[in-house]
Amino acid sequence: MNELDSAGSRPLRMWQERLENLRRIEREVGVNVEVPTAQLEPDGNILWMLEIEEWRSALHVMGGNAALTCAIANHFEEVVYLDSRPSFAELARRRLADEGVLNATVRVGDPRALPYADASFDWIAAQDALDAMPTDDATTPWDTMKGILTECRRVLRPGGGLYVRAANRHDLGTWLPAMSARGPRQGANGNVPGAAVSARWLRNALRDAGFSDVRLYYVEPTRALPMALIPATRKAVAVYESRGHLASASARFRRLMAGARLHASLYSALVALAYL
Amino acid sequence: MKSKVLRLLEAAGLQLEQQHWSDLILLHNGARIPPLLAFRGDYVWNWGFNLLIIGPRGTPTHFAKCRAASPEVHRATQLRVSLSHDPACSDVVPTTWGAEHEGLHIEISRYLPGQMYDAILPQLDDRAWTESMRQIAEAADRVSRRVPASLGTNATSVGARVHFRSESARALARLADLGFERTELDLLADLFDAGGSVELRAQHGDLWARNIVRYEKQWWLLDFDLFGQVQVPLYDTCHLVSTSTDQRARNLRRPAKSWLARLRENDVLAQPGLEVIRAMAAREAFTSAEFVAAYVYYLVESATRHYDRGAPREHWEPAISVVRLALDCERNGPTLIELLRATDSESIVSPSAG
Repeated sequence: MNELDSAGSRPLRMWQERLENLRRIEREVGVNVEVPTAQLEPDGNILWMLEIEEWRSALHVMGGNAALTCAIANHFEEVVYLDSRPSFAELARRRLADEGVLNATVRVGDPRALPYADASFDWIAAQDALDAMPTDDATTPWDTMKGILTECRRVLRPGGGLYVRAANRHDLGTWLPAMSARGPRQGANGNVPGAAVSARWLRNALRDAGFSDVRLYYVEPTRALPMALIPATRKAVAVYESRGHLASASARFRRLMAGARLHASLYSALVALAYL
Repeated sequence: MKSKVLRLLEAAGLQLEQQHWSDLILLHNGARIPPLLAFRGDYVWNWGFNLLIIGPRGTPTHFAKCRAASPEVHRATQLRVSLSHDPACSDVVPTTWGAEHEGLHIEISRYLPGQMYDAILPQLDDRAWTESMRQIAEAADRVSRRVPASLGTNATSVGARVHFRSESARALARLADLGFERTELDLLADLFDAGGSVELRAQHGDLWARNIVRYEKQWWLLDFDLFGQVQVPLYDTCHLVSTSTDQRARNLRRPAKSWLARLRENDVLAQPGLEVIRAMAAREAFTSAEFVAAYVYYLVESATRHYDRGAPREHWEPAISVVRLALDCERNGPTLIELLRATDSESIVSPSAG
């Protein structure tokens, strides 16, 4: 009996070649931090949900491997990628060039002191920015986050919006893997208490920064695999947890938690869409 | 200001004035739109995401599939819109609409607040399980027989026939790529030649437990993305039997093995599926050679289809091993005719009254 061809089908081969190329660029530019990214990069689908007035310019702060930057470039006339880490900025330059993205520019900079004038952008993405920020003893992660949010508010145009994603401080699944819908949390880089925020904290911080309309979502199951985005309301969580195929004991327990207004503890990460 | 997705939902005919941002749940967010690599066809890479829309009463009202716009997804939606508005299928296919803009395609269907078949299966005894599979197979068969009227095309005209040998050409070529020997391919080709041709039936193509919902005492079929790509009868029934037997085994904590392997070992778990497959073969009035050819066609088509779609190796490799098992049955017995108890057309049982 012959061995099966291990090369796989054409789409699979093309996909593997693409991933190998990205890994090669990472090695060449000296990036050795694993950034949580789903293979098919579904994070970019958040862009279809935005309620902003103009689609001219966007800023991606602490853009990491630029996966989301590529998606943003499909929707906006121009995109700026900004990261405080020079190696990541170089990775972004190489990747954007490789993927033929012509409307994005890359810059090294600190998101707590954005090098842009007031009201410069229609939309800003700060996805997992807190994980990517360097830490020191003098500043808490929450101070860092507040600094980023305030700066984002400053450079947003009226009618614009901000997207934030962060680890959920109240996620029981981080501490009790049996609680999570899909077993232990997968490599969500930075999903540790120090770099995590609670839903209430994030809402208040965004309001304090000047955002009048804050919409919170839960991410399920992880930031590395963001398969679902559930509005952080009792009604939406109840609907999500009651879908027809969820009949297991853990699903019943999750429904119980949701019904008891403990839904904030069911999910590993938070997303906020905030508008001025 | 409304989001791009909301504007598209409204363009498709949904009235969303009363709804709030928190009435949209994003689900199955598997791949970016537009896709990273522009593969055409039904590849998982072009997957996209889905939306669950909550109505004013706090319960879901609609389900929307969001995909990168392509001729294939456009065709799949058109077909489903047509089927769902066909009076003969409207109790099997949920009402559907579609819209497309800026590279985003949305297919919206009425949400069915029932239970998925995979949640129901563990609760059924063997008799109820058999009956449920038979009813589902008959519902799928009803849709497949309505396709000519629904589509209004000559491609699926009533009475058209499919030849097993020509229909399996792609799959046999792929098996050759995957290392099957000439003698093995010849044996498969002989089975297809013996089967000759049968009346065409456009198959659902992915009839498994997560695409089946029980609601208002009816079985509803979901996800018609692959509909009509397979036109050989019995494919859907074989897939339903194979996948639901696998799930039944998992629920009973039995060892994982294919339905054919269970059948060969005379495992009682294979018997309900055999009854259903035989009933559907009888409905087609198959001869024994046609019956075997249709079953083998399912094995080779489903295995190689996974491979061609770019599915990971662990998805298609077990299915390839079932093709090898079928070949082993033909060589060393008991043969497929014996296993399927397809010794002649008269022996194939008629569907039970239930």
